[in-house]
Amino acid sequence: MARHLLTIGLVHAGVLGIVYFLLLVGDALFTSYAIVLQDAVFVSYVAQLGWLQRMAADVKAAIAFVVALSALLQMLLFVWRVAIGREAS
Amino acid sequence: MTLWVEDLKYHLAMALRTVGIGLAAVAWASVLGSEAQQSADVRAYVQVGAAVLSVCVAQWLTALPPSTSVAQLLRPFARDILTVARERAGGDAERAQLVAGQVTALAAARIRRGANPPRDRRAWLRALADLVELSGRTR
Repeated sequence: MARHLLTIGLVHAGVLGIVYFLLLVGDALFTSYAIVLQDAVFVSYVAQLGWLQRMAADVKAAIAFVVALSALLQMLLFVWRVAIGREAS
Repeated sequence: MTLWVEDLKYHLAMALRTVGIGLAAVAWASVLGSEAQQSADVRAYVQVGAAVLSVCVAQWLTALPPSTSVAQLLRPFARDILTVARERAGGDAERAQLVAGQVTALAAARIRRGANPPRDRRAWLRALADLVELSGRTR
């Protein structure tokens, strides 16, 4: 039981990392595009703030909320279904 | 087939599916709220509602991981177990079913206890069938 709960937690931490990494890749592509176009305003903006700071707070919050809710529900439903299975057997 | 790796793969697939559906629902709700020219508060409530609903539905449709059911656990072995049982039964269908059941029980017990079946599954299952026959003779 504890192994499954730990696995669910670790897996969701990994999923959060994957989503943020994909956003970082997208940001890097967009930044490269701005540098190639020599867009001075955007390039100076990029130089001042890291990609995580540039990302809107509500987007970061929405991603973290969905991942946390998914982890919580997956753990609760797992524990509930295993308990029901044990009662039935 | 190591049990915890199979469970990890299953949990990862389910987490990716649920988070993907949840984020898609939130993005969709955001676009709809924007198109409908709703206030920031209404849009935020709609997005939270979409996230909760989509994650609840996706998780509700998620089954238990492979290690919690014997049927799921032994699904990749089913064909090999039947082949070995038929080999040992020598054409007797009833005996084949009996041997298959006993080999299945032994295999499930060993995998649950952490055994890592070798690449040559049939050799492993034949060894289990030998155990079944041996225990039948000693009774």
